[in-house]
Amino acid sequence: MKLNRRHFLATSAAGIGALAMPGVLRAQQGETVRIGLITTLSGPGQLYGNYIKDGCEIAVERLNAAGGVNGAKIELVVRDDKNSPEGAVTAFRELTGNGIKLFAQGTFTANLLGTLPLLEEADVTMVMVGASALALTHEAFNPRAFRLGFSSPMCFGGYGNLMAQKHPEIEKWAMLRSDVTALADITNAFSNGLKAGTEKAGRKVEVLDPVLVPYGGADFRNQISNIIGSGAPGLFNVLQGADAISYYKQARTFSLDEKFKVLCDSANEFAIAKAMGANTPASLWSWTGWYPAANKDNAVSDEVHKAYIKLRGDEYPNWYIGVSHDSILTIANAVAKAGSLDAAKLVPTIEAETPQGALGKIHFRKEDHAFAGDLTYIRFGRDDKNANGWSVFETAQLPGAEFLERATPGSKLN
Amino acid sequence: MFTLVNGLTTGMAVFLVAAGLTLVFGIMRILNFAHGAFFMIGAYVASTLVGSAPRSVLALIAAAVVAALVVGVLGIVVQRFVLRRIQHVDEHYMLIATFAVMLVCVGFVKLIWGLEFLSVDPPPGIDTGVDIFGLFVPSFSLFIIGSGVVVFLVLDFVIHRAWTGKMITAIARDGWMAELLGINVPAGIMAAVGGSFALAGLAGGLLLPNQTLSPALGDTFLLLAFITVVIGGLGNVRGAFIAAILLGLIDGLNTMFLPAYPGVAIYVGMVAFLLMWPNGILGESRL
Repeated sequence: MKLNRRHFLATSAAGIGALAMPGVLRAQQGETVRIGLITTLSGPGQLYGNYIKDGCEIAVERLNAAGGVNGAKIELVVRDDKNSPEGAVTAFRELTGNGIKLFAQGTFTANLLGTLPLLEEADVTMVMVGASALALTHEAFNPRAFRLGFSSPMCFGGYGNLMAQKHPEIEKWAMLRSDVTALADITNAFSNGLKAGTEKAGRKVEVLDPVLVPYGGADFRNQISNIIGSGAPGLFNVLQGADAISYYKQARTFSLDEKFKVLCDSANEFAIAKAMGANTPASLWSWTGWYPAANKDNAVSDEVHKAYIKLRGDEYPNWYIGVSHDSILTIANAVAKAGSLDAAKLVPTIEAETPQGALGKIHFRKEDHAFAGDLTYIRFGRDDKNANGWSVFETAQLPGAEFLERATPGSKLN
Repeated sequence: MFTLVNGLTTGMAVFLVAAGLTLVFGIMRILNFAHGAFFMIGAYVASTLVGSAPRSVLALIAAAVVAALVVGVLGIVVQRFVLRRIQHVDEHYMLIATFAVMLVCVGFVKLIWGLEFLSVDPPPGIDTGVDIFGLFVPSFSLFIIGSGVVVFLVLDFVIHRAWTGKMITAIARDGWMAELLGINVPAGIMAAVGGSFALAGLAGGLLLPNQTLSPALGDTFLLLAFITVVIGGLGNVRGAFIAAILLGLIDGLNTMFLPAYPGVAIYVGMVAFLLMWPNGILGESRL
């Protein structure tokens, strides 16, 4: 073949163009779209990191079974943050060094605060999985990151509002929480939501100062006695994990069920019932990020639920499964629509798109990239008729966008 | 009054954990960071035996005794392969070595029992409350207080009255001389260390209905147990018993008078006690 100048220029241009093509276009020719997942897979927090890994892997399996992203398979590259910002940064640098441009990371805020400042230099787009701290979308806001998690004002403000609607007869609420400053956001948000809800209905409510207990404490009986002595018929509990279950165990002797008309747990959802079985409190409200039975018309939710049962044999998945699934879905959907891995194209695509996820329509507020999806609350409790010893009695959903805090990207929310 | 009863409950729960910790220090001069982890293993072993709902108080106690035996055997293994080798090295190495043992134990628990929270109910008979002169007292609190007192009395008798205790005391104070007198020192140390670990397992079983089982359970009591051992006098079981009661009462009063600062009084109390008695309330002891 004779090579003239025009032919040479045309061939060179095509070659350079092919080399410069975004990874996703080359991926369409049989490569993969790699998504880095940084989460906690050792030490405290491993339980939640495992849920996140499961949810992300379910998403990858589902999406690949449906053809992947524009024909390219998704590959999840998982790294342990060792529950430290240093561990998260190390994992991030390793993955970006290997050319990964798409990230899902969660759940602890401190670890995310370690990687957020690095997104620009690595030209990365990130979905923050499950993290709730206000800092992530306010003072530490990064335009390349999206928080697929529920802020305290949103989910606990909504929670208080729901209780004001559901239980107008309760005029006095007590609160119990660990002496961890970060948890004060939760009690404040619940209290504000409760007051706003009752004022809207033309009523007033008294919310007592939280009774504090040491984090990781062994004995809660003194605090239980104080709470019962408050005379409040409503109780909002912000203990977490093992502390919460130990508290409910110790409170059984004090007939907690009979002392309070309404018991609300912040976010321990089925961890309590799974551990306590037939000794679960008679009726307990809890917020949850995802409960499949509350999303009956959502085919994605059903599929994720079935995949999780197949994977772990557990009918009641933790809410992180749904959230982490939707994190991968958000990234994959954006890559498919933008046809690029570049943050400059992906960010506006994620802002504009509302893909159908397990949680419902995945929607982020444009100003600060805060998740603005639906809120779900469940009421469950002891049930002798069920083999588990407990059942879910009631669910409630609220539009999360109505309870989102004011957007102040780049500065602290006052 | 309720605060007083609850303070005693907390104190006795802490003593149950601290007893083995102070004993192993008294014998081998080792501050065992892994003690909480063996307490946790005891709890998991007992929970495996009784399930989530023990049939009776006796069944719970029997499970706690089996847990004590299992953890005691594990303790002998740890003594044989770890503690014996570091007995004469600098304290820093001991702390690092026992910390490593703790990590191994936590990993072991995660592998066997998983990460999910587990719960065991109090058995019938100690699952409600009793009225004592108009004061409502959880019956499980009485069970913990009773268990703590019994364990203390038995330990005190064994250490200060029984021949075995005298033999172990002799070994702890001067192993070389004890050997010259015909005492089998390695066997004595092994039995004593096994006993110390067994106490951790026993505590895990007895306190099972009080706590939630998770791989972090060992941390729940460890710090309080260390404080108890330090305040009571390193290696001094009687001191640990008194210190545990005082700490429990201080914690109870903290809740009553400083509810906004839970747990703070324990640390203030520790500083105050150490300023008054730098070697602990009853002084350091080699048993």
